[in-house]
Amino acid sequence: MALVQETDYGTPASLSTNMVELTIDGVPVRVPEGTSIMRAAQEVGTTIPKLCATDMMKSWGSCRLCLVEIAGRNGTPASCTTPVAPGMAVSTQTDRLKRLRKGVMELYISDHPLDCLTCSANGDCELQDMAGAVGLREVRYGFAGENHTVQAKDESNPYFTFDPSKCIVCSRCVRACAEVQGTFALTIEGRGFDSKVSPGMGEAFLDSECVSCGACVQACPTATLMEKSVIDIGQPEHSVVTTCAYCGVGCSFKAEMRGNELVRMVPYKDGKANHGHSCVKGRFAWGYATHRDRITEPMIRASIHEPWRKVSWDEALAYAASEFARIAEKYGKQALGGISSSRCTNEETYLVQKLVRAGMGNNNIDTCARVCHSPTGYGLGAAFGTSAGTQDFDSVEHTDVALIIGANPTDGHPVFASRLKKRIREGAKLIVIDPRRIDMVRTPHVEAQYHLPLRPGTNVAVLTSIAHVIVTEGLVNEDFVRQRCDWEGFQDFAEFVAEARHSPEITEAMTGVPAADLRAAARLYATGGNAAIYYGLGVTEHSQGTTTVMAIANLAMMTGNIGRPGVGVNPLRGQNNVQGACDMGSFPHEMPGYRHMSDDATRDIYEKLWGVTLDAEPGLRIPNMLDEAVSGRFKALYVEGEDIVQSDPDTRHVTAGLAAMECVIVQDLFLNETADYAHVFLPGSTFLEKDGTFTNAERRINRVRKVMPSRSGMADWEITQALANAMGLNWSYKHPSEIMDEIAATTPSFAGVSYQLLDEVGSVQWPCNEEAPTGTPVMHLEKFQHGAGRFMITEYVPTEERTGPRFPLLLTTGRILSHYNVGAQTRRTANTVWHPEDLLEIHPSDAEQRGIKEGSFVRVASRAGDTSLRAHITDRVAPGVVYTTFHHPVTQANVVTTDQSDWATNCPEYKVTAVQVSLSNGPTDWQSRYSTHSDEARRIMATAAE
Amino acid sequence: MSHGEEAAKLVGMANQISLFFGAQRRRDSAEAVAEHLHKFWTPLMRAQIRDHLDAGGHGLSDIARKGVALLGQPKPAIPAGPDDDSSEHARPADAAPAGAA
Repeated sequence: MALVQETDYGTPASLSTNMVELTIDGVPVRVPEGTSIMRAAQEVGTTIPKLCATDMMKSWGSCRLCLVEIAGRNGTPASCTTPVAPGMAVSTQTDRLKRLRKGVMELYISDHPLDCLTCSANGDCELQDMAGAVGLREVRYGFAGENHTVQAKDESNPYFTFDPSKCIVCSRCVRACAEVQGTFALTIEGRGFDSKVSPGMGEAFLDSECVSCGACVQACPTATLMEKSVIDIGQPEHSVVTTCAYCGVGCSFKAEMRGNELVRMVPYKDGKANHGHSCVKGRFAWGYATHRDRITEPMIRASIHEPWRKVSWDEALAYAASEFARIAEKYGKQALGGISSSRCTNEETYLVQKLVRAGMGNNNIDTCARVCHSPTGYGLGAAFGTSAGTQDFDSVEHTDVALIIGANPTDGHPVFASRLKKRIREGAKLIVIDPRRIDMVRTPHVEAQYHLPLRPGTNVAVLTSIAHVIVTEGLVNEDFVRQRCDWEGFQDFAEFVAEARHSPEITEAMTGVPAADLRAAARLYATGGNAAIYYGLGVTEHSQGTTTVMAIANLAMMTGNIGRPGVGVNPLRGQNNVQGACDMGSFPHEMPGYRHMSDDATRDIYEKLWGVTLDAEPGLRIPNMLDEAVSGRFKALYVEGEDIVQSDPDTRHVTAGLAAMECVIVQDLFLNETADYAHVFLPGSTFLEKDGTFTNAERRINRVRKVMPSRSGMADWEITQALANAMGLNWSYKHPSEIMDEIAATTPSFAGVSYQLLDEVGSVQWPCNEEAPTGTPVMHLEKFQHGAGRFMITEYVPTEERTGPRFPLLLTTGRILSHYNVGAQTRRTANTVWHPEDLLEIHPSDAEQRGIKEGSFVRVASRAGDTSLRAHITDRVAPGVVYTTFHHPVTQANVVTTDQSDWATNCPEYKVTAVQVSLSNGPTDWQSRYSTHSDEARRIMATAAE
Repeated sequence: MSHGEEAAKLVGMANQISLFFGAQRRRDSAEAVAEHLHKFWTPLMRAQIRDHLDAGGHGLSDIARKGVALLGQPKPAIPAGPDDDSSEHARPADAAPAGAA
């Protein structure tokens, strides 16, 4: 294995379909119109020297190294900024060019430290490369006089160092921050000799607007911006392409290694989801894989009040299997169940549902989609016939109007947000529907045309009102609806939305959205060109989550915004493999491929293959499992890679349910909140330690490739297989590719998927089968999956979670950029520097009424429970609304959230909880008791020294 | 949970489901509710709500009552899902979705 080398073409590719023919050094070249000479030369294998150009960004033309000569033209233009022209004859190497390039390099090197042998970029420095490329042998200016070779380093960022002494002021970092990331945190301060790269207004990186995405580090041609891991370890020697294990964007990375040690993660330019970009988490926050908290040996205990005892794998698995058998014998097979991980691979989640169905003999299998995008499955299934987003991320490049509702992409899906921001800077319009003034509303060079700050819980009212405007103002795309949808159903729907009670002027009183803004936003969506809706958990985590998804689908269908690039309905799936977990049948009512358990033909396929009889009835969802546990009928749970105590609502109910069980098996990387209630701990593996596939929010199946041995000795799929065999199931998979072969053989939408195909093409979007051998980027091109698109009547039903004198505020929750969900991974990295604790965002007027100051410790109480945390006063939330994150278990945010849930799927209503906020002295009783229990539950018996 | 608490939870869920199907126009709401319960509720949950109805059905909305009353009758053919091309499964016009969570 060697380092995966990616060609840098110098400037971005042109999308033109007109072709231009020219010659470069006498070699005929044919490239799209708009291609730079530099790129055209690289296409035929000629690398023109360069320093300021890189193909992730537009050309800049400052370094003057890439000069060429063009027959019939005076001078020596820069090849990066000069587009090709028909019949052009270019020379890339002449005596004049050689002299000029040497002169340029002499100037650069005259003001550059000559410590190459001890420099962290030694072996990977473009300045070094160019000095060699131009044949530099001397620097006639000498090294006396004023220079920049000794400068103070900025080491404030935990992941990279900024050393201005190595800087050649090529501006790549500034341009990367602007064009690629869209944060505009960097600038060039001063002019001429005084020019220097500066974060913000000259503050340190950590104090600036820098979001630590690392695009500047990646762009930097020298050691100026360098990963601290490279400084510490040295240059990598081989790399493996794999997929990030954080969010649903599913960025592709090159894991650059030295032996078994990960040196750095570099975004893969050929990654179809991210095209060479990443965020702070995927690029830098992988240190949790080798954190001291990693549990590497199995542990068991008879009671959750006992300390853990380390045992061998055989003993742990035999104990787990014997407990399952005992419980099934005593309480019946419906007393057992499993939760599969939306962070483990497709192959692993497939095996967990197989273990439950074939091993436990029931359908009590569920996954974290329950608490996030389960309404997406139901809603889009009803409208379109498939339970997934309709587009790929590239589709945004053709979007004219983006409507974001209930999502905060700069924090939750940052790489996608960067692409969306770029499109908006190019002229696309933006509508944001969110109770908070999220960053997308106003960020450098991006401003939402309309921000509709609705009252939490009124999504359906707002979207139905938008539909009212579209119908009553004659903005429906009738041709599309007649051709592609159920026309009679649409007429019912149109009659419904046209009722006066849905007009923006009437709904304003309950939604808080000014009627004029809503009307204008509706008109923009309907008539602004290609319009795409992007949504997140602010849509689904409500009592009408499914209805809201249907309302979104209605809007897309009635305006004809389906079935081509630039439009569509785009659920921003949260977890790295929540789409995959759903695809793999991690639901109590569905087999892989979204086929209902009651379908005889589907069950027949698996019964023949697995040699068992499958239960045709739906099983328990996670909330039902906990209810059944509290009622005494559910006694055993196999939890793979999910922390329901921290992430699920109504924590007291969750812990009561777990405490009532007799055998809880947790398979995870660390002892987490759920493990506090477990009897068997099976140490899992990170994405770096196994092979498999993840499916991202675009339905894109990407490879995960092992780069280091599993610290526990087994990948998660091997553990599940071993447990299955301890239960007598006799599985014998030797590699995850065999599991994928089984998935493909049994699941029509995956029929064409194989590791061989993925190695050849990189990734595929399902459906991938005979009809679509290389996958399906955009769905419903000519017809919907189930024929005609269906309109659903979206009657607004206010949530039962109401504010009142006792609980006058509404709490909504969300995430931030630097942490991921329960923080199991990110809290064990340097990302804690940005968010060491969860804070309660509260409006100044609400704070003043309560005597709350910035940083005050406050108590948040609901009818479910109370907790304490510090306050942050901000006008990002409206009066009457408070907001917090749930990344730190000590916050116990979900003690406060209730058991209200979506009508169709029981997705919890995290986004609407009636609360009261008051000053507090410290942690609540619950937090104190929980902390005590947690300390007790995490004791591990010391093993005697040998 | 006590028997009463369990029943109250199921009644709440059934009423929520009924509110949605009650607003749809082209299909019998009670049938749609029954189909949803068949698709997504375990046999025990269905039996519990049926027992609750038989004991008076306190708290159940009108549509929920009618839907629950249909439980236990021959199940309608439930569409298999997006991956099933079988023509055996005719889809009622406004059936609850197959590819759902």
